[in-house]
Amino acid sequence: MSEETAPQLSEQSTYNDFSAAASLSASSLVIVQETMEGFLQTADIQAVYGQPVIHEEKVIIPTAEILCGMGFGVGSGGGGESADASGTGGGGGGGGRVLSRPVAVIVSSPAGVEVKPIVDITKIAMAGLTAFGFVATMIYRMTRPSRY
Amino acid sequence: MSLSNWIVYEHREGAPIQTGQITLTPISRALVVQIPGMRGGLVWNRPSAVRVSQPGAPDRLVPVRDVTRLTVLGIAALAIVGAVLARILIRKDS
Repeated sequence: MSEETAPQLSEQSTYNDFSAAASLSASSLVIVQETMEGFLQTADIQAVYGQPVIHEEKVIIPTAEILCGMGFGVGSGGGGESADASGTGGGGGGGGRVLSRPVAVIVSSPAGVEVKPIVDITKIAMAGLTAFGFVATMIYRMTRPSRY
Repeated sequence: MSLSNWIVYEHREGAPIQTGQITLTPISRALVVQIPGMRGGLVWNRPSAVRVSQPGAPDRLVPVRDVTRLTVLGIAALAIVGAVLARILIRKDS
């Protein structure tokens, strides 16, 4: 009796495992799909042009640059037919980053439309220091006496 | 699978914004990279220009320039030119 019921329980257990893994995989795919849709929305024009701000007779529109990268994966698998290697499992993971930086402000007034740039002094200073360090190191290495 | 399915570079126009008699149409440039079979990708979206429409005047495009990026690229170019010049001058001296 016990020899007959044991395989049945095992089959039921395996079926439940597969069902749970499939459900997990389906829910993961839904999350992935939603995340991808949100990711692609960063390519929309509304992501780089902000809401217009009306001040007296002027309309101010902020603009920004967006750089967004991401990647993830999901997977599931199961063991073999033997009782020792039965069972299923699934999982997933991912990561991403969004960089946003103000670029300019568009000002529309009765006098006309002008684009006022937003200058990131810190970024420029860092680039200048890096470039100076690169050139200085190169000149030093070229002018120092050879050891051999 | 063609490359155009992986990489999309497009100009997009937004909804016109009416300010008095002036109509502003924002334009952006977006680079979207999606590798088939892999979940993920890259989006680089930035403002490109604004089309200004006024009654009785032709439409004109006002570019949105990224001064920070241009300056950083200029510094990088100067560094490369400086390094090349230094190499040439030091070789001549020695």
